[in-house]
Amino acid sequence: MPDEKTYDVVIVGAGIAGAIVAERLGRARKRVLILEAGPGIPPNRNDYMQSFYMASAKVVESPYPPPVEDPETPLDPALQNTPRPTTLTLSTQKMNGVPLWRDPKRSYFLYKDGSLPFGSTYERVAGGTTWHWVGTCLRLLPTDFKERSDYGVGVDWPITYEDLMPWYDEAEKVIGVAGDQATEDILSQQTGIPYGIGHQFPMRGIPPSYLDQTLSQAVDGTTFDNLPVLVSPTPQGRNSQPYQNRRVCEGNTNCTPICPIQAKYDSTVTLGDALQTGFVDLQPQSVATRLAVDGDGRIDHVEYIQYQKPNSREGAVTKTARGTLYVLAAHAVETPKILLNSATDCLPNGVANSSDQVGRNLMDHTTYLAWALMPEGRPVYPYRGPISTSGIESLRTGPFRSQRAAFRIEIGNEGWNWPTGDPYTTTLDLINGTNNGALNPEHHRLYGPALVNKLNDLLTREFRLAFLVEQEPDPACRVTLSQTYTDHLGIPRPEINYNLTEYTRLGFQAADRAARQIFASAGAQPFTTCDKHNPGTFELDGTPYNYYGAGHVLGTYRMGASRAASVVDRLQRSWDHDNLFLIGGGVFPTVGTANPTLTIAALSCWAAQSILSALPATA
Amino acid sequence: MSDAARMESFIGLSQALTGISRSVLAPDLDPIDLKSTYLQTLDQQIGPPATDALLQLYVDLKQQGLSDEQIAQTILEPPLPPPPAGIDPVAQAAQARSIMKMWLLGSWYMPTLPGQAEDLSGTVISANAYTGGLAWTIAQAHPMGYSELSFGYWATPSPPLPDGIPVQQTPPPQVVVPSAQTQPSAGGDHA
Amino acid sequence: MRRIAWSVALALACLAAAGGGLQGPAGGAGSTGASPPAPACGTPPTSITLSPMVPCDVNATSGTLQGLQNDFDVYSWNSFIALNWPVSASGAVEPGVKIGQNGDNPTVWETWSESSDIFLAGGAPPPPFGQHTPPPAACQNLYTPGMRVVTQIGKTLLEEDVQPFKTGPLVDQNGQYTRFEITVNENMFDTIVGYQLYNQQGQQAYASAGNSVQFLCGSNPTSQVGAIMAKAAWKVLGKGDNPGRFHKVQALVYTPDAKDLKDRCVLQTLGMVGLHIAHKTTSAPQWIWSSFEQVDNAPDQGQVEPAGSHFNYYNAGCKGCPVNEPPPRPWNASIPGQPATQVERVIPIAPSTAQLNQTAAALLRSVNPASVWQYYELISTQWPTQPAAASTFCPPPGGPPVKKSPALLNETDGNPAPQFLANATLETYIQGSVPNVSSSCIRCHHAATATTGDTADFTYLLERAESVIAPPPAPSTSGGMQ
Repeated sequence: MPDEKTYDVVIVGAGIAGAIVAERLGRARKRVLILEAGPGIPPNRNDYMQSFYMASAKVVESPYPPPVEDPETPLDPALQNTPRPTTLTLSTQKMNGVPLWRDPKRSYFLYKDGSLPFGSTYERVAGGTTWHWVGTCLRLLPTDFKERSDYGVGVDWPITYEDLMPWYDEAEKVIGVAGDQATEDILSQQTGIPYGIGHQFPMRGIPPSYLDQTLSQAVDGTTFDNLPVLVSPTPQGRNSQPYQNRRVCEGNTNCTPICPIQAKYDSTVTLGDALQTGFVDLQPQSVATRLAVDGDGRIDHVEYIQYQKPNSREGAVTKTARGTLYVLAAHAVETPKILLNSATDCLPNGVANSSDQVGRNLMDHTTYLAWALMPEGRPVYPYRGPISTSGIESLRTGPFRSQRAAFRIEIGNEGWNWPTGDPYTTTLDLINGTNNGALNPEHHRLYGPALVNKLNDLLTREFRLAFLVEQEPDPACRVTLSQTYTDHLGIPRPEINYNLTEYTRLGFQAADRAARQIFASAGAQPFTTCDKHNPGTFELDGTPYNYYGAGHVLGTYRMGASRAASVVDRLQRSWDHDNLFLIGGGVFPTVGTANPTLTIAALSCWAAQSILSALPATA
Repeated sequence: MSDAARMESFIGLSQALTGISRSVLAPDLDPIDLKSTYLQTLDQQIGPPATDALLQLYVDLKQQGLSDEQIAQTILEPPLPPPPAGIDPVAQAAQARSIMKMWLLGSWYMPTLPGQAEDLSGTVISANAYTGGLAWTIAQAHPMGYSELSFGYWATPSPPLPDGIPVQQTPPPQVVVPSAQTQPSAGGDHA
Repeated sequence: MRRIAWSVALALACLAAAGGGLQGPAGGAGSTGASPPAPACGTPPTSITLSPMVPCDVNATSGTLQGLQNDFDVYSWNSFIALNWPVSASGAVEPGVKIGQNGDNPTVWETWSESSDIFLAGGAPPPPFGQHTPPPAACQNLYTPGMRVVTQIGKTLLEEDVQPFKTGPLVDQNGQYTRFEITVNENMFDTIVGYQLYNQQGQQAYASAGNSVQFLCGSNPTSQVGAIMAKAAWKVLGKGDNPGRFHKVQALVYTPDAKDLKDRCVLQTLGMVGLHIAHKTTSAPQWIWSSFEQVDNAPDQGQVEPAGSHFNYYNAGCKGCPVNEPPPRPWNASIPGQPATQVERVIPIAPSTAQLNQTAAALLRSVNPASVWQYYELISTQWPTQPAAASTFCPPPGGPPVKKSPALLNETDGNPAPQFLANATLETYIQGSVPNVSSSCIRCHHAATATTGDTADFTYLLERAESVIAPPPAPSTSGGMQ
């Protein structure tokens, strides 16, 4: 039996980028195959939610396979068919004196000597990492596309904001963005974002939380580095009205790790629409290993391993898939992994890599986390509503960008859950007489009504701010292939070299300053501490800072105006192979300060058009 | 002790330790029935004899006419006179703390003796135990991943705590009891 | 969190039962023209009774969880019997004929307005209660007035051959898609029409005036019937199906346009395989949810079925078939030869409910040994153990609308019993016991809203309202593809 059916387009990766392209091609009656490394779309959310409920550490990966806590599943990535990085390996925990992120038996990523740990993680399942995105749908600023020209930093994109603007409009419809145009119009005086005439968000905005309103009252009208500080509701990919057969947000405060009711968009929505066209096949449990190139420099086929059972090699077979065009949409670590793994004698750098840029410029929105307690008698009622409903976007750009990294500030509605693990930590502190969360300095051991009172008083006053600091591209920050370690299917694992430039570190210094100022304006007591045992620690001028991942894995096959300095052109087509498109967060030359999913979606809508144009017309 | 008497003692002990009334811990109509889940967990974790000893201690103290506050204090901060042979009051205090953690966090935390490292990760007892964790209720919130309220509720202060969670009873100095009525109206409307 | 003592409900329930005659609900705001006579509502008996009297509310005789569950299950059976009572050709209840007495019979709930009669294209006003809109063009040449049409799919939010939230269609052993329909009783219809909640502009105006959608509550003491929704699942009767075991209807089965396939309309005999009855009452402002199925649907998970058993949605010979999983996409009722769904019941029927089912079947057989109604079983009744305050959530009949308030936003599920309830034909793919995701009528319907995003009082129907004015032409979603 032939194991091949010929497709117009073969897509690797069923996340938001792959799903959008597949849906648009399917609608245009093109035959599409999607290869997905992990499981397909589950019939319901029972299993993922049950894993989440039962996880003692409810990290972003906790709902998804392979399980991070299940005693039945080996934790060693060498024994998993689709291992991925996990937050648990970034803890302060050590095994035999070795931090987990440096232990190949726990960490999927290998690290070069001298590297810092990469803080962000991603999922390898149909629907991809949109399963656990917060849903923030900001646009990049016009100046973000020309940072080299405007500030002498990074590189310029080969496209402008104006080029992308219509595709942003498209992406907002695909995702279903709830937003408030009046707020955006005010903000655009700071950010310079033009919206098209008559632009409307698909849904009215999500109401700001009580915390947002409290902070807005406290800080609006103040300035930071000569810029106005303004709290504004965030455009968000969650329903304020029924949309796409999905329910309205009930404020489960669980956008990460998983929205129980799919009020938040995830790309299984678009994937379902793609399959519904009847022209798209989704093949789960199929891990792409390499691309084969023919004598004309065109991609000839994708080689992949199809396995039968998770984390088992039994019945796993190597197959090939053929199409007229190929699209890699496997995220900014897995896509370069496939390209590099495709190296041959003729292409010793791997596929699409004549520039030697594949895998370089790995970036994130490295996150500075600051947390504080409102004064007594001024509760802000956290642990309610979507994880974040507002932010401070008015500081995203300014003349300072020639000196230090910019940031946006996300206001969190989940108390100190991220920084300290509350309400668990403080509850245990007050019962045990410990002070791990810093709210029990007198080491009280409480019980009865005194315990309830104290907990109520503390937990209702907690809040945190996350500063998403723009990371400057650095060619030395890089994904390569491990020469030693493989996954269970024998595929080499990624080896990472990661660091933060001084420009980026200076952004942290400014973030710290801004946090103190905002807390002072609100009369809140700062509790931000730096734990030097945390693997995500760097120093600047002798001061240590902790950094966290924003979950934004970016760079690694950037787009550019020249084939010498970039991997894909402005249409996201490989400079080297004209039937190969590389899409997703890897194409970002710089990352700005917008959470990237909306931009990834917009670029994918555009890519779908380019791919259609590159295909022969359907008879 | 009969099963019914055991359960009755467990609920009474739980109320004394947590300060949360039995109407919340064990409502008359209780389809989720966490009280049974937790008593069963206790039996599994420390064994029925230790559970019986702890419940008997509660019954004895109750019969002495002690208040909930006094009962909790006696169990959690055991007095100096030597206990009956075979009973370790320090171990019992640790077990009692594990009971408090079950009700508040829905997880089982191993009881630890002085000098031992506290169990900080715990084991989630069940999905219902997680969603029934009362720390979230005390925070006037809901477990992350399980809200029963409607779109937009987060824009206003939380409603008051349910009856049976005694924030009003011993307010800490200068702390205003948070409730929807005493909060300033929400400002900063961006709509 | 407010609790209503069930002993109070019990005391109220002891008030004299309403008379046996027909009694209409409180007059409606928007109903015009002749309506079929509405079912009676009265204080229900404490046991299953052959009566056309719809229970106004539960008749609580107990203060325990198990005792109350039994009371609610009795209420459910009495509702089922009353709502499936025979109606005459004019749609009037036939008090002199018992259910199933003359064989299968047209029923009360089938005379009500269907969702597709209410939420019309362009947000047009619906015809009077119980009157139907003309069928789709593809059905016109087969249609005679009075004929039933199922799966009238406007291009609205929900497609009626796919289960909620696009979880997938249910395919029977003959490869046919199961069809769904929802009808509402007269006072629910009147509320929707009276406040113009049948189009988006009406919903917006209602919300802008500070009003919250709240339907009437059934009440025993005042003999007031509450808002009732009936949701049915139908299968096309075919090979292997014994028509004597189903409530049947001749209907035009409409399948809308799909890629490469034209609209289709076929006259077919359908058998009822599932029926939900949801009733808002003063003792349960989160509504009472009664779920029935035809007895041949599916075996319990892990149950060893006797050789030769026939199921509507289970093939004992299909070893290794994925269980409770939707078919692969694309989902299209017109595609021939689709694989049958292999369905198993995840949570078995409780023993006390099973016992009541036997009582009910015996009673229905006593009317007619061949009664089709004996082949239906109650899966369970879901009800709030901590009901919301009727004073907040139950508007007085004919009174002003309920105003929006924080209390409404902070309404909870009321800790429903049982915690989970799934009908194998209506919630096939979300069965299970995981909080917030596995099927629970109250948990899920709590999130129902109107097109405005405001609460819709546990009904998803209001999402279907269309806009009167065509929205400004949105940039085409395929805009970039020319």
